[in-house]
Amino acid sequence: VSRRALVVVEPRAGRVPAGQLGVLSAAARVCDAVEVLLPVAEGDPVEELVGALGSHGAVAVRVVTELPATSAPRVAVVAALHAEEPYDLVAFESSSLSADVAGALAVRLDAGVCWDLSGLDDVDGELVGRRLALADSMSVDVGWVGGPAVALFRTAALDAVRRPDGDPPRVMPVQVPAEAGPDVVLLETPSGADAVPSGLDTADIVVAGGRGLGSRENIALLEELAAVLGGVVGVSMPVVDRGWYPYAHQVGQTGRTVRPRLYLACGISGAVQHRVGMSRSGTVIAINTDPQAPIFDVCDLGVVGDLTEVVPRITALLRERS
Amino acid sequence: MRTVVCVKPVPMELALEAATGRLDRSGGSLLTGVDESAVESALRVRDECGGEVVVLAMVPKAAAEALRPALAMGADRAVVVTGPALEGADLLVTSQVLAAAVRRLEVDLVVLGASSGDGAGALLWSALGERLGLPVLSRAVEVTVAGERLSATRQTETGVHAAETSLPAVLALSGEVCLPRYPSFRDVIAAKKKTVEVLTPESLGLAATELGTWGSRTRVLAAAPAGARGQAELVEDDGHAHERVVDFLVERRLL
Repeated sequence: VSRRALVVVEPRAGRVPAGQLGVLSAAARVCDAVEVLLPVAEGDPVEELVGALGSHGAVAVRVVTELPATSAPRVAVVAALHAEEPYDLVAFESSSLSADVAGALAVRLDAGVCWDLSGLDDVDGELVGRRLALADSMSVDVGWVGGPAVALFRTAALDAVRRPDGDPPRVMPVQVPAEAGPDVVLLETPSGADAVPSGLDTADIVVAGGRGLGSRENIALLEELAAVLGGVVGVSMPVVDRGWYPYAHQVGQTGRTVRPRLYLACGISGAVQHRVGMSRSGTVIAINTDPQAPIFDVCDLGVVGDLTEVVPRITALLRERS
Repeated sequence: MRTVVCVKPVPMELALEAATGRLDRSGGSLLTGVDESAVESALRVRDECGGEVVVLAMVPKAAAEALRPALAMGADRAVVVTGPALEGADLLVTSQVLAAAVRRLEVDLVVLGASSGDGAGALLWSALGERLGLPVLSRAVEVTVAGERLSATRQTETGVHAAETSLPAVLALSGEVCLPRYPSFRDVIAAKKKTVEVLTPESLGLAATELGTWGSRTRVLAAAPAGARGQAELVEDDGHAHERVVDFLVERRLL
């Protein structure tokens, strides 16, 4: 059987993020023909973007221009393409936008949707999604029944794999159907500190803080340590909810999933919602005043202590030794 | 102005049933902070614009009482859709059941919390919007309803920005965006007298073949414990814990 897939990507700053190329690579491994839906903005280097997609397994790139960053037009485009020639798989890397698209698309196509996937395989001719559940304590295999399989992958869960040179992908422009359905209007484009990508997705080292920071000012302690280690600052949901740090830096179920070599959790109790965002990190070091904090169940080294004392001492010692 | 808040009581203990790989919902359930925050947001809309706030949930019967705290906060009434035919419902089925219940209520605004603690809340609101043919304003932090317009500040990984759409609409909040009001003793007593209407999928006109595992387009194939981390090394900070941390980083070649 010939299996067709569509991977929906969203370029950022003229590049397709590595995690999205990872989704493309995973789709290309289990499908015979993978197309990519590529929304481009004015000034995007289309040729380069298409080249990168081709070298990660795309046989065709559907280019759509002037698409607002909302779900309705994407749902309409994918549904129209699917009506022309059905896909067996429609895949996305998880984001605020792609989750909105995938949920609506599942209903429109009467298709099953599996989310939070970190792997995709062909088992006896059927697609099987791999997912970690319940704070990543359980590994769950999921499948789709009938219709196209709609799949949302965890951010940064899959490695981008370059393929040996094949034919360059065909480039095909697509139009947004005139009646794309009710939508929201975005009034201002993102700006300020929040518009800067956090770099969390690809960070090797993440220095993260939670409620235990106690105040906005103490985030500077994390920033100083992150600077010394060459890492990126992450935060848990309460920190973002209090307005202490931009959402782009949030790790967890409602934020980003990270997979760094080192994750340093400072003043983070380790609620399930946070753990799912960091449990696949290489080494985890936790600092918390509460010896019963669940974060100590998922770390390699735990320090029972006050982060506002321990963190500056780590920073100072590292500076001294470098 | 009628607002429906869709909530999802989650089991107090999170565990998967060995036989089905599905979430074990046999025990007691709680409203999450995210859901309380959604109820609070709806109450604020009512405070501003008048009208009614209805709490809606699709639950096994045991969890119906978990909606009582929302009534104590001030929601006017609750609707629960329940029944054995709902077991094993995936996103398609859940969105269909909730959409049928919402249609029956004739609402102006549907509010959902950010993400249920045990699954894919982030997909539910857009699926529900699609079923109802309504625009979906997701990841909202600050919400304003004025006349026929719904405006909000959105928070996504690409930044913070303003967005708006027309009512009726589906509104999905980003996290615990506001502090839920604390019910007084009097509120708690009053909540006991408020109506919790219990509906079945059949009473909403849904056929058994559309429901539960029959109607679902996804399957759990297998579930097994995932590889856990080894026993952690724990140190108490006696003023020297930072030295152990730095040594540990050296041992693991992380510097």
